[in-house]
Amino acid sequence: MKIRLPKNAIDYVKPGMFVIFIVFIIIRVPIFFRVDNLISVVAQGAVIGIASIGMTMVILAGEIDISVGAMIYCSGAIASEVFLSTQSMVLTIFAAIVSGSIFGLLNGLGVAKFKIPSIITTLAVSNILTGMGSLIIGSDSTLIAGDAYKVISQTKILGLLSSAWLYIILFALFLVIVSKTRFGRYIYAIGDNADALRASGINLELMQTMIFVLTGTLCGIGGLLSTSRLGGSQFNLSLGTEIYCIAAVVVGGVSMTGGKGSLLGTLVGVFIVAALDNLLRLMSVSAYIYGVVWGIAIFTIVLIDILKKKQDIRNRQRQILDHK
Amino acid sequence: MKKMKRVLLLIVIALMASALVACSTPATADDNSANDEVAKRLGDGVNRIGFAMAEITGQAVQTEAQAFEDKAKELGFDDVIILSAENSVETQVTQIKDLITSECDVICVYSADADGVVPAVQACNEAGIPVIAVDRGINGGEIYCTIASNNISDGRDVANYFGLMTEGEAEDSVKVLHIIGNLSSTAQKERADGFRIGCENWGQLEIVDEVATDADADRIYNAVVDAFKVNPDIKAIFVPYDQLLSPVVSALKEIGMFYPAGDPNHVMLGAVDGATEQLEWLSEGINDISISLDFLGFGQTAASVAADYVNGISSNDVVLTKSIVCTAGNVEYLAKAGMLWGLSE
Amino acid sequence: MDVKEKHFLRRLSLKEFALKYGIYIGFLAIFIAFSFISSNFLTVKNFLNILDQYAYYVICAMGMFFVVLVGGVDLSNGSMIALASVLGATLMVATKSVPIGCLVIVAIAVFGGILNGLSVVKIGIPSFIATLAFQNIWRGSAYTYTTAKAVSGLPSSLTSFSFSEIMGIRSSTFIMIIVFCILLYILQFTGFGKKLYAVGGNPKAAKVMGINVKKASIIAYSICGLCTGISTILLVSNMGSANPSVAENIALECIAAVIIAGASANGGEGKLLGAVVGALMFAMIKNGLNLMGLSYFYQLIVSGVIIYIATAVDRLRIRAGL
Repeated sequence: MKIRLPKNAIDYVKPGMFVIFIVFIIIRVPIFFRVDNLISVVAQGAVIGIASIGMTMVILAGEIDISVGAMIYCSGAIASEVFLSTQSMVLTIFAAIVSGSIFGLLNGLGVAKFKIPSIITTLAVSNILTGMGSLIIGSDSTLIAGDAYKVISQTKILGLLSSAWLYIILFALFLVIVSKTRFGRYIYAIGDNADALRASGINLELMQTMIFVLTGTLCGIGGLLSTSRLGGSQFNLSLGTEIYCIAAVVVGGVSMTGGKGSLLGTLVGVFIVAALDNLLRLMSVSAYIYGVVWGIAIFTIVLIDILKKKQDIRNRQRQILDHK
Repeated sequence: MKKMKRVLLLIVIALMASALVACSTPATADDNSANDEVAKRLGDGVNRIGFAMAEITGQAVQTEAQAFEDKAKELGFDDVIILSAENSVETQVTQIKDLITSECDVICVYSADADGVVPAVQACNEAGIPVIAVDRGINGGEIYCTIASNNISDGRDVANYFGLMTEGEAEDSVKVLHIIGNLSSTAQKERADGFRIGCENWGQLEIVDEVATDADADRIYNAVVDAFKVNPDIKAIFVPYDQLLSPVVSALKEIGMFYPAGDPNHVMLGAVDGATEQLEWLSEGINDISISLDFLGFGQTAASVAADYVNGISSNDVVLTKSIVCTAGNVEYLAKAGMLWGLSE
Repeated sequence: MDVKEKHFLRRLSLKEFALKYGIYIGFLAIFIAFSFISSNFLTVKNFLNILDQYAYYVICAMGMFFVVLVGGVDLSNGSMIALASVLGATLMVATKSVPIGCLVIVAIAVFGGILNGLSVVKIGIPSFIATLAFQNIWRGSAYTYTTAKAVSGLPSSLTSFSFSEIMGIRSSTFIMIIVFCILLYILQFTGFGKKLYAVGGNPKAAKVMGINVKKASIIAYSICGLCTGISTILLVSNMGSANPSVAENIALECIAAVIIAGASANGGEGKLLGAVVGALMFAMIKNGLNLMGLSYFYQLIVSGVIIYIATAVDRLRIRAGL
């Protein structure tokens, strides 16, 4: 005798899990819902969030960028070095943005011009930037830029840190770019059907390069924020951020094959990833088992999402059949 | 088409083979002439020394590498090769074998794992190259000399300091935050173990949280901020490397929990290494204790033991180096006495 | 007509030539460059040494080739090596039996491969994410199981295996060659191999042709698991102990090795030999830089530049041919 589940069981899993999860948090870690904690989750997620904007565009266009962490690391090191030697805020911000964009250009040229698969291009660039960043920081392994440097990310405006505000502003800006402009539509089109786009006479290479350059620029800003938060840079700071970004983007419902998804989804994804990290810490999960819990959590979230999508497709097919 | 393929393949193979023959013949000739001499002395021919390090990212290990290179060059080695495995044992095994291929006279190993490098050490033994274990012992093979420190006791010393300072407090009343750095680093593991053992010896110390941070400053910052939400009364924080204290201090400042030493609300901070910045902090009352390992000594002793070997002078099997407990009280004296690598100049 | 056809043929052969030999030319260029820089590089001994040391890595890359061929990636293989090695090693220490330990290692790794395959193919989770999750889960399990300590005291027969040699060639090299021959046979001379290319190239068409796409893909993932298992055994015997932090960056390097050598990142293209050459190229770069004594940070930069340029040249050739 088979137990029959209702046909749309999966529809109830997601909200059901969500409710169970919320109840669990309320009982286990009530601190999570305290306003100051939620605010700090936003601050903790700001750098990942800013980089994830770029990652969303890259993945929407059907590519991947695993040099994000290294770009943040290297541009952050450059920014703190510039601040240390010039004490000029304008020059520092300029240096971070320009260096990030140049790194992005390196990725973009590799992918668009030289046709290197993006995973290889960005792996190579990641190696180069990790080495360069460490050489800039130098053998003292820390680069102290001083407390004045912290102003960029640690100024409180209306109760939120400036880094969080910057994320909100950049997010709004790119939300408009991606969903309202022609460039945004091309990003989707590249991921969906690059050949058709090329046939329509669009400069595909330029578009691809632009996407990677913008990602680099965003990582430059991310590097500025992450180093400013610490008042300087350190060996291996932010390396590996790309994993969190990719997780955030996919958890947010963007298709890894490109063409489908939205920045709003990524926003939710970033919050989930940052909150998961925060929760695991608040629950004092042991350092050793941390990865296990993280992996299972991400796997489950994506699993439910995919099962839900499959169910939707099946329902639609059934509807079509019924109409016939 | 097929013909072309074959021809090309043949050319490639012929090229490689001829190159191999061409290059290996003179090499063997060199070997013979080297064997004619009874004992090799520094200054005769090319003397090469290799140092396979577990990691190179950090002021302490950088100092060790630099001291080694300077001393080895000073003692007459022409070629000093320093490789870093970045905490990966299998990389270190291949690097040690590459150092054998490079025909090093002596190979020094700061092992990424005391067991995992044993086969590589045996390969050195087979090739007749002496191995000097630096910073950490190696659990097998023939080791010519061990220049040892004890990371476990370094971690324990910090716990003991925390214990002493809070002696007489009630059972489990002093909450301690333990930040875990890079899980793949053996130094981190040993220091963490030592710290845990130390805490167990003091009834009042209670480790309330051990956080995974991958030694990433950003994540340490977040870890400290979050830990204080759950346990606002944390009284002490331990990190495995001195330099990981900077994000801790930044985070304490952000959440308004930073009070200098002497203030009743002060959160005790302890770490191992004896890095410059953290030693300077001691007198400012920012942190409380740092264990200064003799990183200059590791590098220099390794180089001089190696030079002695090449010159035919025998050395002790074990050279012990001292770890020095530095606090606000003694740091100035120790610096003046030139006993701290972090404040040597 | 005749002339046109000839012209067409010539162009095709040029394209094929570039496609097939771009990587080998890059390989040769790096080879020559290193032999000029380091006198110890171009010796028979060093090459046997490279083959011995990187056999485990080459085998991993061959496994990865199968996954990339069906359009996926496997980020979990490094963590799988860690988990399988600590579990297998504990068993070997307890039972003093090497064969049982090796069997368990392979079984765990194949299980991991099947799990990857099921999650990706049956459930439809993107391979990057599914294997990323498993990467964290396996690594975390290995750390938790050992509390981050190495497992030592393995039977000495295992370590002496890695030292055993026939005609100056280490046993690991032979294992690598045997694995290569078997996998090559499967790919080139069996119907299953052709199916895999079809599945990777165009899954929909393959389905229409009556190929069980899901089954074929899951088998590809399990072959990757099998290779991971074999390379775990080599690694454990090479180190004489099992360490939970081992092989941390191997996944990306394997993917890079496979794709550098002409395999398409989208699946359906490439040759197994290409994967081997790609992996050996990586090994050669590392070996050459070590022999040069270049410091770690410069090694990172130089290897990055070489990967970038080598692949760029390779792909430019392909395009020029087109």
